[in-house]
Amino acid sequence: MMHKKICMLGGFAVGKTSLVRRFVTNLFSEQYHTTIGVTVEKKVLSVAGEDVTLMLWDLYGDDEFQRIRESYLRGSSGYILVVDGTRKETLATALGLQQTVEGLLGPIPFALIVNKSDVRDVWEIDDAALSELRQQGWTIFFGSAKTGEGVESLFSTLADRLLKQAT
Amino acid sequence: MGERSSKNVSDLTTDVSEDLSELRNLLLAPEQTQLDRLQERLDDPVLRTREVSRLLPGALTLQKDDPVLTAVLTPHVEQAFFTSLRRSPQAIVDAIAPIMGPAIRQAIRQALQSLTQSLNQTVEHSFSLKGLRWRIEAWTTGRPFAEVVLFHTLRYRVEQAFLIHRDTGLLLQHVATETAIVRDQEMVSGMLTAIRNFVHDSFGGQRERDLSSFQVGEFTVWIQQGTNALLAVVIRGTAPETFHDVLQDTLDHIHLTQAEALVAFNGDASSFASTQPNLEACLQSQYEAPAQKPSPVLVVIGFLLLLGLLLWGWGSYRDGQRWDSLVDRLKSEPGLVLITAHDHGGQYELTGLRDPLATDPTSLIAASGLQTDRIRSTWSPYYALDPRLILSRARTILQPPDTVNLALEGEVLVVSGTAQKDWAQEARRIAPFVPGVIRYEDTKLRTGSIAQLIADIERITILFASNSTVIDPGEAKKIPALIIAIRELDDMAIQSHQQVTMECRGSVDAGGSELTNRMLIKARAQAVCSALGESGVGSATMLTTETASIRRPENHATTRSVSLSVGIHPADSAKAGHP
Repeated sequence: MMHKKICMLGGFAVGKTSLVRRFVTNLFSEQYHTTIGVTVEKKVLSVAGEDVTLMLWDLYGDDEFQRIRESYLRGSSGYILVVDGTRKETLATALGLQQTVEGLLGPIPFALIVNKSDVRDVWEIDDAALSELRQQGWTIFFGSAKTGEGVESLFSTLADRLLKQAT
Repeated sequence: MGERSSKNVSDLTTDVSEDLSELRNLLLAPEQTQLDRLQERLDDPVLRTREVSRLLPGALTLQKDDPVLTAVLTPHVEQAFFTSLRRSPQAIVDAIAPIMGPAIRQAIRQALQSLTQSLNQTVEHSFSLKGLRWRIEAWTTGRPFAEVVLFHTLRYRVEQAFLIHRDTGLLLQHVATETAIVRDQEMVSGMLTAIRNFVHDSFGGQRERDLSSFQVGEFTVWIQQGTNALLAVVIRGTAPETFHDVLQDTLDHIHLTQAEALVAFNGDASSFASTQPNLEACLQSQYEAPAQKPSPVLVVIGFLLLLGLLLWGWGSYRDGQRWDSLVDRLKSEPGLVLITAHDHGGQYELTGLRDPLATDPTSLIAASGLQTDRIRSTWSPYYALDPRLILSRARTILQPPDTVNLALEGEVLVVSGTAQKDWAQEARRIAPFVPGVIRYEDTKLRTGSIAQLIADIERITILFASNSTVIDPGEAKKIPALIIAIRELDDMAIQSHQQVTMECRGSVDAGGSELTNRMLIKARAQAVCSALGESGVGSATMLTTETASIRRPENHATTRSVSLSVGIHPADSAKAGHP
């Protein structure tokens, strides 16, 4: 079975953890977030008849108090950027994180998910900004930690890209 | 016109075709032949099969690394295998038996060894005081007894080993003991890497400052760093430092054999399955060595040595006591003067003086319990002035008869009793020469013969008042002297193997009736006999009362009296004469 390391990145309190926790195997407490800045979780998927295990490194938010540790990014096959649709600044944070990661790891597959699609009426992020990113080749999903929307397809799509890249 | 024209064209065409055919034959005849042959080879399946069979081994060899070929052949091979298995299972059994047999035996052996070890441990700890203590601990803590035993006897046991890709933190291979609690090893692998990265970022920065170990309760995690992979082991207990070398060697070996796979690792860890034996070799354990039971032979030898030591110690102590006791005995023994007494480590030496009449020191030494051959004694003769020895010496020299009594009063040898005159004279002559005797005193020695004594006894008369049968107090004073004489006579009779008969004979005066006188005679004789008998007259003397006749001497005071008539007989005839 293929194993891939994926990093979950995003600004403070964008819902990375709550977005994925319902869909992954978790063994370690969230307390690790505040202690060492990461918890490792696991998601097993079946993509095109092939099982793949995603080892999700859920990195603690990027803010003025705690910067992400670059060493946690090392060895990643791909990454997921999480944005809170109700907070515009989290998109800017995600853009910054994307540049950081690309600078460190090069152009590896990634996807962006805009969280809180269940309260889309209060979103601050408009489609225009996202469309621009799509035009740059970004893969963008809308999802909700509350409803679970978009999560499976997020992982499946990314895993599929990773496998294709591998072959 | 039209038809003719058409026929002409047809003829012309036929001619051209023939010409072309002929021309083709002329130009391409060899190639045509080859083409025909090729066509034949292609059309003939037998021929083609034969040719393919010649090419197939080479072709397969060339394509040995082609995954497509493997994928294509796999189902056919599997199908062929199953078909073969169904058709002739015995052939398969025969083929794999040599392989499976040893493998099964090894598996069973390992299982039995494990079971035996477990049983040994349980049995060993079940019936000991320690085992009882652990049972109580298990009972009070609610933990299984086996776990308590393990906790106390295990020095260390490597329960899990993780081979982790250094950059990705992905798990390459994982092994664990049967009893290890294994949670999601892939997540553990990732988290271990995260923690290692965290520590490295926070405190390190250099390779040598990487996290190499940390402790969690009774577990220690050791992380051996490699260029492309990490080897992390979970250890219960405390492993020796040398175990780091084992881990490093294992990691080096994996780097050597899996160098390409490590560098090209893309998430597929299947190629690292071959490292499983290497990791399993790291699952080492060491138990507390059971108390070394000494060899029975050594126990016996030790016991014998101890017993020997005890016996030797006891023997030495006892000999010491015996020696002290012997020395005290020799010092207190009359006639022996101990001058030196040395104990030369079990060899004894005695020197002293010995009176010839003293107890033989050899007998004292023999009675001491010490080995006589370990005692060398030298005794010089001398005369001891101990009263007992002086008396003994005097008896030896004077040879007194039994009727003579010797006593030492200061330096005076006092002789009493009865003896023959000859002995008395000889004793008086030589007694002063007895060592230790300064003066000789024999005034208390009576000298005489049996006849003299008989005469003396018969001369004594006990007088009675008229009509009295009671011994008058004044007359009673004669009784002691009479008894002494009787006893002396008795002694002499014994010495001469004779017996004495004494008859108390009463006498009456002229007055009184016959009957009265007869009663008086009898009563008076009995009174005297009783008086003598009360004091004892000696074993060789028989005292009787004579009542047969009435003696009536002349009117004389002595007529109312009792006297003794003494007879002396050979020992056997005395009784016969006096029934």
